[in-house]
Amino acid sequence: MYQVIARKYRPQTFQDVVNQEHVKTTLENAITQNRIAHGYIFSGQRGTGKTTVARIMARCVNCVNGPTTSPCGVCANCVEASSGGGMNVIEIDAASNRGINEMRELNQSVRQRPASARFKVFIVDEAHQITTDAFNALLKTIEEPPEWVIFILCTTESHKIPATIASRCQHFSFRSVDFEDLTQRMAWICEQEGIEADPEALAVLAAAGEGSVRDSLSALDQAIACCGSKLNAADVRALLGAFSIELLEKITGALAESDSCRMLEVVDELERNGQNLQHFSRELARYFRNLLVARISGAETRLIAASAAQREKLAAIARGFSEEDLTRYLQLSLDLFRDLQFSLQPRFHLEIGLVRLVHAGRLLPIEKALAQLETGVRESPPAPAPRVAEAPPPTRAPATPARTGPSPFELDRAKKAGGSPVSRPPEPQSSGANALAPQPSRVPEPVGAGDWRQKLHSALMELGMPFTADAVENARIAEVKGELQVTASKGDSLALRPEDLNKAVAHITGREMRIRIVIGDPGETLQSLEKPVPDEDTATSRALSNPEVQRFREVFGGEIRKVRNLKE
Amino acid sequence: MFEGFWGNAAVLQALEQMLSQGRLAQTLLFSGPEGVGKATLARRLGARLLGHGELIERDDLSLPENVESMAAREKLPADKRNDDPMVVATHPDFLTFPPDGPLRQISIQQTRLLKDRAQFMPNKGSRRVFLIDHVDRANDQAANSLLKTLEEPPDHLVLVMTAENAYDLLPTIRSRAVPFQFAPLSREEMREFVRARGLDQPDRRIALAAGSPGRAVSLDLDAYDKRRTAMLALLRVAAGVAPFGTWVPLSEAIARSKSEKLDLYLTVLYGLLRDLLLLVQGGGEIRNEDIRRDLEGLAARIQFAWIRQAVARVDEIAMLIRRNIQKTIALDALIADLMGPGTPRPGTTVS
Repeated sequence: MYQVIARKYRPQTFQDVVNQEHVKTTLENAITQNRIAHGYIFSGQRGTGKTTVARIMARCVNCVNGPTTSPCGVCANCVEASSGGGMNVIEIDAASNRGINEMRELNQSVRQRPASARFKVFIVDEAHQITTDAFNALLKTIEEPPEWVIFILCTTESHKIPATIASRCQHFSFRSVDFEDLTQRMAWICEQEGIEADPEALAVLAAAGEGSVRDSLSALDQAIACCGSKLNAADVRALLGAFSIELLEKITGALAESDSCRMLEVVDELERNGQNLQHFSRELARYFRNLLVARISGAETRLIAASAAQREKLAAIARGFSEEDLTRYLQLSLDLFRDLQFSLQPRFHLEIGLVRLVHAGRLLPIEKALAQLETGVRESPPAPAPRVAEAPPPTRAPATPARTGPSPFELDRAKKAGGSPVSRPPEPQSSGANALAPQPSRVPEPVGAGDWRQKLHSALMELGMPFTADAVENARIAEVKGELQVTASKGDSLALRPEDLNKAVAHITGREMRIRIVIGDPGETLQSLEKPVPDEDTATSRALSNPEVQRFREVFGGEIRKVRNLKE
Repeated sequence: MFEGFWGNAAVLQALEQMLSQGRLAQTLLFSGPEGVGKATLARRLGARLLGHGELIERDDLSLPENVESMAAREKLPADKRNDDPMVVATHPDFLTFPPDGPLRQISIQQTRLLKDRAQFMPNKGSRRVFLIDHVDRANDQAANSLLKTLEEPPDHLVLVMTAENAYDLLPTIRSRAVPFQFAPLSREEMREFVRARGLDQPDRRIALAAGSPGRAVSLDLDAYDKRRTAMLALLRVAAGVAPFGTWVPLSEAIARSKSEKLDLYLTVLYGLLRDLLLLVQGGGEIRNEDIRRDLEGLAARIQFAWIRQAVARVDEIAMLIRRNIQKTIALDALIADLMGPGTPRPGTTVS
C-alpha cells in the first residue's frame, strides 16, 4: 500500500528533523549527560514534529547501543518505537482514551517494568483532550514515576494542560518551520522520489503549508497526483487555488470605482472556476494586509512575502487608498473570513461581504471634515449617507484618535446661538466613525434640559443599568451652568451613583459633566415647573414617552387604551 | 474511469492519476457544496477498489429506505443510539459513518467504532474503504479522536472524509488528509445532467440547485414553493410592506408541521435574500425567476443595509438551530428585529 510522503519520510533521527534546534540540542545534551527527565510536554502547531521527536526520543533511550543520540534504527527496540508502539514504547491516543478509567489503567501499567528495554516510554498524543479528572488522576504518577518510566505528552493546545501537570514536566514548544528549511527538505524528498520540481513550485507548496511540514507534504502529494512527476509553478498554483494578483486587483479596482456589480461578477467567476471561496476570503484579507503594509512602509519592505515586482505593484495600488481606508477594508475582510468560516451559504456571504466593502465607501480625512464644519459649507458628502453610516464599529479606534463628541467650538457656537436646540427623538448615539463623517446633523447637539431625562434613561438602559434608569425616570434633571443637577427622592438617590451617571452622560455627549445629586422631592418641583397636572396624566404621558412603548406601537401599530399607575 | 459522474473533471483526473501511479493516499478529504457528489465519488472510488459497485451504491444516504431508517433512529433515546453507533455497510469492506441523531452529528461512539473496525483485515481482497460523511458534523471530541487513525491508518485502509467547508474542520484534521476541492457544476453540465435524468421543470431545478446535481434531483418543488411563500411573506412583513397579520397564519402552519426542520426554511430564506441583493445592486441572474415581480416590488422598498442586517440575523438563527430553538419564536423575533427600515431600534448602533 502506498504511504503518503509525510509518513514515508518521517524523520528517524534528530539530524533529519527540520528546524527545532532548541528542542534537539536540549534533548541530545540530556541524553549524552544521562539526565533524562521523567516527563516532557511537546507543544506546537500541527505538523512541526512533536510526535516525530517523541518517537526519536524513545529510540534514543531504548536502542541497544545504550542511551545514545544516534540510535541504530535496526535493533528490535528501535523498530518498535518507530512503528508506533509495542511493549516498551506505548503510544496512547489520548483523544479516544481521555477518561479517568483509561488513566487508572495507565497507572497500573506504569508499575510494571519494561519488557525488553531500558525504559518504558509513554507517548500520550493529543494530550489536550484528556479530561480534568483524568489529568488529576495522573498527577501522582507523573510526579514520581518509577525509574524506568518516561512520559511524553504531545499536544497542539498547550494551554489546556493543567498547570499542575505542566509544573511536573519539561515543556518544549515547537516552532513553525522556516520557509527556507522547508523548501530544502522538499527538494530532497523530490530527489528521492524521482520527481522534477522547479524551485518556484516548491516555494508555492511550502507557502501553502504555513509553517507546517505535514501540510506542505500533503500538498506535495496532491501536486504529484495531479501533475505527475514534473511539477511547475503554474500548475501547482492552479491546483492549490493560489490567486494571482490580477484577480485581487479587480477587487481594489471595483472598490476605487464603487462598483458593486463588478464585485458580484468576481464571485461568479470564482465559482465558475471552482475556487474555494473560504480560501479566497483568506487571500483577500492577506492582500489588504499587504496593501496596508505597502502603504505604510513603501515598496522596499521585507514585511511582505512577495517578489520585488509584485511589491512594486502592491505599492502602486496602495497609493490610491488612504491608510484609514485600508485598515477598514482589512477589518471588513477579516470579518468576512470569519463569517465564511462557518457559513453554509459561502457564495451569498461572500457577495454580501464584498458589496459591503464597496458600501463602506471612503472616509474623509478629519481635517477636511472639520474645515467643512467650520466654514459652514454643507457640501454633500462624496458617498451617499447610507454609505457613510456603513462604517464598521471595530475600526473606530484607529480611525478616530481623539474626537468622539462635538468639538468645543461647536458647543460654544450652539450656546451663543441661545435658543435651546430642537429636541429630537432619542437616537443611538453617534459612533466615532459617524462623528468623523462630514454629516453635520450627526454631530450631537447640546442636549435640551427637558430631553435629559429621556436620554439618560435610554442610555442607562443601553448600558445595562435598569435600576439607575428607573431612578432617573423618577428624578428631575436640570442643567445648571454646565453642571447636571439631579433631584431625586431619598429612596431613588441610593440607585443614582455618580459614576454610572457619568458613564451615561459620556455615552450621550461624549464628554464628562459634573453631576450633583440633590435629595428632595422631584414631583413637587416638577409640578411647580411644569403645568400642574393630575396624577394619572403624568403616568400616562410618562408611559407614552417610554422608548420601548413607542417601539411597540410602531412595530405592531397598536393603540394604548389605558395606563394604570402601579404606585396607586 | 468513473462512469456516470458529472462535473469536477479535475478531481476525477487527479484521482485517476493517483490510482494509475499507485499513489492513492490513505486519507482523502473531499470538500465542496452540498450535493455536488462528494459521497457519490467516494462510493465510486470504493467500487473501483473493492468491486461490487451495486452493493456499495445501496449505502447512498439519500435513497428512500436509508432516509427512513435514519429518521427512525432519531426517535431512539440517546443511550440506545450510543450503544449501537450508526454505521452503514452493505458491502462488508465499505463502511459509511453518517451523522446521526436529531442534531445530525458524528458521535465519539461512532469514531471509536471506526477505530475498532479499522484494525480488521479485509474480508476479501486487500483493501477496506471507510467513508466519514460530513466530518464537519463531528463534535470536538469525536474529531480529535479521529486524529491518530487519520495520520497512520492500517495498511489496508483508505479513509475518505467529506465536508462542506474544509476550513470549518480542525486544522489538525485538514493537515492529515490530501484535500480535494469540489466545485459546483457549470450551467451546461447541469443542463446535460438534468436532461440525462429526465427531471421535470428542468429550468427551475437548474436555477435553484445552484450547481449541485444532488440538490436538483432531491428538490421537492411543491414543498419548496410552500416554504417560499411563507418566507416571502416573512420578508414582506419585515420590510413593512405587509401588515403583521398576514404572517400569523403561516407562522402557525410552520409550528404545526413538527417534523419539518428550520434549516429548510432558512435555506429558502437565504435564496430569497440573495435574489433581493442582486435586484438591489443590479446584475446577475436571480434564482427565483418566477416571482421576479414580487421580489422587485420588495427590492424597491429596501436598502443594502437592511439586507445585510437581515443576513446577520438569519446567520444568528442558523447558529442557534443546533441548540434546539423554537422555530416560530425565532422567525417572529426575526421579523420584529427587521421591521421598520430606517428607524434603528434604541440600543442598536448603526454600523
